[in-house]
Amino acid sequence: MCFMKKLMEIKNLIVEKENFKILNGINLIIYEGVNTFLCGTPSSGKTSLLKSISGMQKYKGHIIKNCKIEVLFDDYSFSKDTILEELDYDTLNDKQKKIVNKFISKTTLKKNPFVVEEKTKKLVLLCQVLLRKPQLLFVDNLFSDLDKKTMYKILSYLKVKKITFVHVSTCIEESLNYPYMVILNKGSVAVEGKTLQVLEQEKILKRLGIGLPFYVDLSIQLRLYGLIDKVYLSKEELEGALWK
Amino acid sequence: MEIEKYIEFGKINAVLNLDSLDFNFREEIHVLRIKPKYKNINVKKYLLEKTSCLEERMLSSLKLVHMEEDILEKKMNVLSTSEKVKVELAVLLIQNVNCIVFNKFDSYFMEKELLFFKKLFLKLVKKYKKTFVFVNSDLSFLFDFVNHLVVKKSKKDYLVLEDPNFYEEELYSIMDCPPIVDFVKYLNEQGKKILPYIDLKELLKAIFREV
Repeated sequence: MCFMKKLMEIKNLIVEKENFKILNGINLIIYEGVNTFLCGTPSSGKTSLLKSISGMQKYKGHIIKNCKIEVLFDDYSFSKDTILEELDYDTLNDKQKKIVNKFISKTTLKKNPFVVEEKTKKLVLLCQVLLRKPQLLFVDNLFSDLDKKTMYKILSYLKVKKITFVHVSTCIEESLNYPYMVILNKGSVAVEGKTLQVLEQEKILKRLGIGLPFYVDLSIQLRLYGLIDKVYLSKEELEGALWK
Repeated sequence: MEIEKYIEFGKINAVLNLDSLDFNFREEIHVLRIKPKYKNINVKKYLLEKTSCLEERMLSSLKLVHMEEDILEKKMNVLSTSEKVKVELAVLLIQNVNCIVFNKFDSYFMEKELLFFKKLFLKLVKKYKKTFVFVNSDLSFLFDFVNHLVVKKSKKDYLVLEDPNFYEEELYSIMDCPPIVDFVKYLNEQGKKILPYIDLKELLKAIFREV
């Protein structure tokens, strides 16, 4: 990784509120193109980390930003009557309109953002940050209201546009879509590394109360039984390995 | 609210595929909500404002939702999101409400805590005939847990499953299929005879017997 561009570097990040340490010296580097899944134990400081990055929260330590960074939170603060107005659609150029139209249909654009389904609300928020052309995007729990098809559409768009993506979520199944994984515990980084390598440390994860994605969990247990020799991440591969 | 008529009282309900989460339920149905901002007061004072209960009652409810005594002195606006959910749940338990609706409950917790809460909710249903409603987009969290499943098919059409069979084909014309169901279905399509398990340990034993 040392030859890759550092998009952001966090050094000894400490957040204290009311004499209570929420972040306890976090060190983290996000490299260009390395999409990361970030999860953590309850009250581990995930939201505080995002708030610090977005500048919404005071902190001690250093957040070195080497590119345009956006943070998308899991809450809505719409103020206009239509999605069109919310996105300032009429003032957008053709390229920007294309981004919006990729995720939101023209008929939906005329609707009130408060009354549309949750999925659409999230897509409006996503479009708002994408229009600001980030190179690094942090997202809090984006996919909990979206179907898999939409999730893969977003991931593929971000890949094509070369936007590095850090997804904060409790849904461990989603971790397999990311090459890198970071787990927070009690305001510090507990484990980080290549996703599969992190997930294979099942004893540490169990101690932290974090489950495993289905195929990783099943593969690890089948390996203990001596039925397979490695972790398989798809049904076809796993079936093939079991009944070879 | 259309969905109200599908709720089965005294059971663990799950409602899937809803468009909007702006609920306006009738009085006896309480939605657990966390506020974007809380007053600068500690948990003890917040619980007192909400419930006027004695400290002993506060402590037993907090214990019930897996929180330690020292949380009482913590300020509400310092709590993490999952702690706020637990405090709001403690409030509803102290108020002894009969029906609680949760929105995306599993998005606040990891596996260990989810297992703890599953056991708690099952106990409260069995012992006190409480009603819980989980509005969710994912099925996996609901296995071994839900006894009344409602899935919105279209604007006015709902699929209602009592003691649901998670291998029901119709379910997956509407929802994404959870990995364990998808894998077992695939194995059967490939000619392997594996029963419709929803528990990984059971599936593991079945594979061991079959291979």
